Amino acid sequence: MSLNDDQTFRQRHVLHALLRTAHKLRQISYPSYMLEMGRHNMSNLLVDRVSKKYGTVTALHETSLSVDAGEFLTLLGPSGSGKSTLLNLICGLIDPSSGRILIDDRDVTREAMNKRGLGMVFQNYALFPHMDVRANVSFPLKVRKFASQEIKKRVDDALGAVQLLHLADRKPANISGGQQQRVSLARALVYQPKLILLDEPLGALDKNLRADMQYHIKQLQRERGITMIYVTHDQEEALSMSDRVAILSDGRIQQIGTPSEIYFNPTSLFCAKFLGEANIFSGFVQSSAEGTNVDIDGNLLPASPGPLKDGDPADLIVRPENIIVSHDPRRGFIQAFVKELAMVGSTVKIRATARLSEERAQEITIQTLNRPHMPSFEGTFWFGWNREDATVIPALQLPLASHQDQPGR
Amino acid sequence: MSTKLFKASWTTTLFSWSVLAFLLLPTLIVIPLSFGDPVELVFPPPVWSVRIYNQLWADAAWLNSATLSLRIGLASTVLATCIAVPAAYGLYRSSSAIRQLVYGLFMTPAVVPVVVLALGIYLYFVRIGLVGREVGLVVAHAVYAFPFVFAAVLSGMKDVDQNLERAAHVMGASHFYAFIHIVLPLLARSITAGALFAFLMSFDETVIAYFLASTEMTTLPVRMFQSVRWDSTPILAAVSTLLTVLSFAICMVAGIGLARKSKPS
Ligand SMILES: Nc1ncnc2c1ncn2[C@@H]1O[C@H](COP(=O)(O)OP(=O)(O)O)[C@@H](O)[C@H]1O
Ligand SMILES: [Mg+2]
Repeated sequence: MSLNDDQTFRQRHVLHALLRTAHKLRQISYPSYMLEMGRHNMSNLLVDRVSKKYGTVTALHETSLSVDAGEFLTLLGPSGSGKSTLLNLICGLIDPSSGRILIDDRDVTREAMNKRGLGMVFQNYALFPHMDVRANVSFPLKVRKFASQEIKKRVDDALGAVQLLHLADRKPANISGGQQQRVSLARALVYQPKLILLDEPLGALDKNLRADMQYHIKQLQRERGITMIYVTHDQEEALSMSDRVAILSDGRIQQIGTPSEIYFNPTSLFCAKFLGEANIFSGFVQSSAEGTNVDIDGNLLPASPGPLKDGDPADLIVRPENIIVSHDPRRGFIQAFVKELAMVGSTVKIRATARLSEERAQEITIQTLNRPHMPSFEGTFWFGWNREDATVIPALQLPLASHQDQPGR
Repeated sequence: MSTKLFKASWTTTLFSWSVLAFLLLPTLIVIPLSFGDPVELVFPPPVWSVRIYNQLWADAAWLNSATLSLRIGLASTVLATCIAVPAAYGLYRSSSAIRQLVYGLFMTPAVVPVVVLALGIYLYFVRIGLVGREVGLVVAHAVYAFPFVFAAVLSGMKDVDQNLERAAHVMGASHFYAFIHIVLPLLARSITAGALFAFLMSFDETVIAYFLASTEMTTLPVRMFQSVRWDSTPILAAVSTLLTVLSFAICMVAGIGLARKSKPS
């Protein structure tokens, strides 16, 4: 009966459940840095309890991170959250206030930037304006005193990889922004660094070009097995490109995990809201025979197990696309009234008012696949979700006992 | 704002040209004089000739002064530039609290009256035995011209994005390599303009050169100054003309260079 319980959705849910279990196992009571050390074997980069203070301002609190060889890790966060600081600490542009940085098991904390052998792509491209495209891409090879035939071969290869061979004689000022960024990428590829850092590389490009470049970067990264650390404040970009995403705010990594882990199992309200729309229901934890629930005025909403005990105030988080919609009342489902319904191509977006209890109503957002037999919602429907699709996190604020208005967060 | 304010009426045009003429004519009057009578300076010249120039080419003392001025100008320009470029680069990239103070100190030779500067240098050079020696005048003129190169390079640093240097470092370049291959080429125009001005400063400089002069070491402006006082030879007009043309040429080249730098393509 429900509108989106088809095969692919089921498979995805199973996959998520597995990922979650793996995630939970990794979390058992080790301090985070030990966990990161545990993954150390195949790692390309290890950031070990690194912090950065500017006088009284802490740009980055003690942070540990390990990045595997060939991994694509994104640092995602709002402006001022410490993304660039972390990246600049890794490349050696700034010195940490504490901690160590290891690249390929080599402690580079005190090593100069030009000895670390990294590649970097800047948001403003940082192309040398007095050199043509070929000279720009040759630069790192000339620094390394490569023979001129070797330089030509490698530069042709790198420019070919970004499809810019035909512009090799142009000055940076005479090519477009997208082309400049591709030159910058070629320049980072040409000396084959194992680790490339990219600081909001697509920030200055328009939307179509961004999508193009995202695909391009991802393809090169995969083909050549390069480790990339990619900074962005664009959630979609982070989720679509990354093997793992680290969400930063206020100079801390708030959560790190695969895109689906962080999207479907946020560990904080901040992460839940930052990654997109989330339905958040506030109540108290209440276990039952079926598993963990969140109790809202006696109504038990199902959730996957979390680090909370009965009676703890909690927020239950469900993504709009995980909500199952039904035309008939079902056990455990909640009644709701359509407020707004918009078809967005293959999906339908519904805003509705959910009656959580006699006294409490709350606005919810639902996104579901558009079907030919999709009835027009008039008035009432019922909704629920699979237990494993809902996450509970500790509530910072006590939920209001009973009222029409919602806790103001 | 009304465009009328900016539209030059014929009265303002006339006024501007009059001011320019007032400023330039006394300078330009030497040009016709230099093509006149080689015995006595009379305006307007009764006959036209290049005989004064022929006299100049034949006069060893004047030619010695000219080559001396040229030598000192070149040497002091090179010295001033070699010090000013790293100084401006370092100061621009520095975040030190005393940045402004250092900037002020570096600019003093351009701010202090030349006579005071000349006296100071003279008294000091007397003690260390540099008066009357070429190397002394080179150093003195380098000090005198330094602020002009320094200021030109400092303003040029605005166009040298620090990210370019960072990019070079990440790609393996040492600070020195990046300075030579990235910073210097981007500063080339500013350095050239600054150096041209520095050369002109030294070549035209009279007061310091007069203080430090000896009979073997008389620069062109000092010889002109002496000549005006003692013999007022017509050769003065020829030398003045040549100096004026040279100064104009250098100012034009430097000015065009700076103007083009401020408007990147
Ligand atoms: N040189 C600096 N001096 C003082 N504070 C700084 C400096 N660089 C960064 N910060 C502060 O550190 C925080 C993190 O900055 P940054 O890493 O650039 O953020 P992001 O790249 O995520 O936008 C910000 O609050 C910023 O103000
Ligand atoms: Mg940043």
